[in-house]
Amino acid sequence: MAYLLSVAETCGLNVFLALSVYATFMVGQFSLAQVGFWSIGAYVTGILIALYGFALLPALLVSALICACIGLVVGYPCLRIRGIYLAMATVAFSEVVRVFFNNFTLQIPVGGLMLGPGGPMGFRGIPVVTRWPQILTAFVLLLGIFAWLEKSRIGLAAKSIREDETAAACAGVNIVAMKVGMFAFGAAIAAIGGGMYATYVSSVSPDNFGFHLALISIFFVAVGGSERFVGPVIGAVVLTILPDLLRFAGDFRMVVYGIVVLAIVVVFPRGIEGVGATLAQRWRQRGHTPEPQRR
Amino acid sequence: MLQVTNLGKTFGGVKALTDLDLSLGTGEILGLIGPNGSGKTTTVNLLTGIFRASSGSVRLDGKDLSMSKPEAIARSGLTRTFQNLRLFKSQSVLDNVRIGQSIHCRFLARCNALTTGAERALRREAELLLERMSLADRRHWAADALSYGEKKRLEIARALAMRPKILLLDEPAAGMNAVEVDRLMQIIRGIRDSGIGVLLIEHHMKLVMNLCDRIAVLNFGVKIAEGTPTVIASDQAVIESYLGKAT
Repeated sequence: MAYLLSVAETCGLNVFLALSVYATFMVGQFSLAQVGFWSIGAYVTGILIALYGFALLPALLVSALICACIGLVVGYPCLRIRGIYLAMATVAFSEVVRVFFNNFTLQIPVGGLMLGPGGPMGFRGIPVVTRWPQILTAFVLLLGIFAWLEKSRIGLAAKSIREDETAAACAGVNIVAMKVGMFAFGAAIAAIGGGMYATYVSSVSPDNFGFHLALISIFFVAVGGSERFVGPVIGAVVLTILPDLLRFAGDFRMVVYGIVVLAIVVVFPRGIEGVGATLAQRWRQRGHTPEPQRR
Repeated sequence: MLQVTNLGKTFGGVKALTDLDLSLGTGEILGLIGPNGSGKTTTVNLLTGIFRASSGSVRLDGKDLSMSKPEAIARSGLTRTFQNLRLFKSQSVLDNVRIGQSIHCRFLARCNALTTGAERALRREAELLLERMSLADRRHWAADALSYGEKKRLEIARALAMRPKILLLDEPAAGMNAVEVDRLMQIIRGIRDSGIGVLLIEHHMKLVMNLCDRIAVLNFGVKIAEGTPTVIASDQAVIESYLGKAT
């Protein structure tokens, strides 16, 4: 039971990472920077709580605010690049953050113990203040925010940019504000997720936040589906549970994991969320009567 | 009122458009015609900010738009349709129109996900627009499922949703059958009569000759003639540009 709960908790935390990637996807940007924001969130929240005695909520809000500001600064130059170049720039950002924390030491005595980030040694002894009730509350709030956002005109404008940026601009959508805004919004979500992660596992090290995690964060969206916010949520849950389901494969577990991810992406390019739509489309292409798609 | 002066565009060494002067008032239809490659679409892209002009200026009610971005130009009241359809294909017909309307909302209203207050009025307006374009019964369809003529009309609806002062139609009749062209003609007249200036870029001569109050003719990026349809139809330079010189 405790084991199942811990899997569920990890799922909840990973949903934050998935949806922060999705926030940039909504405006057609492919960003690997979310892991950088995730680790900034983890460290800032950890420092505020462990060293300065903050409560969880204010610590998370401060982290979110800091990451949103960094997101604005990083997001603006990123407007000019797209596709593979944007991926490279954003992964570089994540690496810069990782290397920064690898060299960042801030040890302060708290109650007779030296606490704080210790460079490559990581940051240990963060009070465990995030448990399932906090994760569940934040998860429900997050889903609510995304459901609301997608129904609003902001979501409508975001979707239109993703489909056709020129047409969106000519329809009066402010491309710069939308793209930078969503980048900062994604950064804030990643920060909150990272902060909860740090206060859940109690110790983080720069190596937790490498390129590997950046790839996984993209997998969440690719496997789950990038058309609606439900997709990344499903993707995060499936890919968090999958390694545990694959224990029968022993040492080849991660090989099988890779194959499963590949298979889903190839067979269902619209992700798990879009399985129904993909199948319906194939059915129609085989010469069955085309039916206008309703929305 | 739209005032274009000395507008020019060069791509590398190629002069796509040279010293174009146009003016268009509200409630007027100005046709812009010319053979393929004469600079019509370049003109539209310059006016709507997709290209930046190499020289000259575009003024709408005195406000200079030649350095503005496409979204700023759309907000100022100059909107367009595209020659090759650029609808938001996977979204519903109604949502395609609603995207155009967002410029009338403040940030907080845009964050609203419920159909309340101002949003209800906008939705009503969008539905009226769709009715005018005979698309009301299609409003929940994905835009991609529409027929070609319907898609063209939806583009017009989206551009009108921004409540423009000037509407640019880039080859609205291309690929339409005779019935659809007649329907389009009524729609464009209706738009003019509602007090909007229409700049019509078109190859379809019947449509142009029947609709336009004035016509400007481009050839190799230079305006070679301007006048009423009857004047243009008998202009020697225009006939030569289309058919070649008699030897």
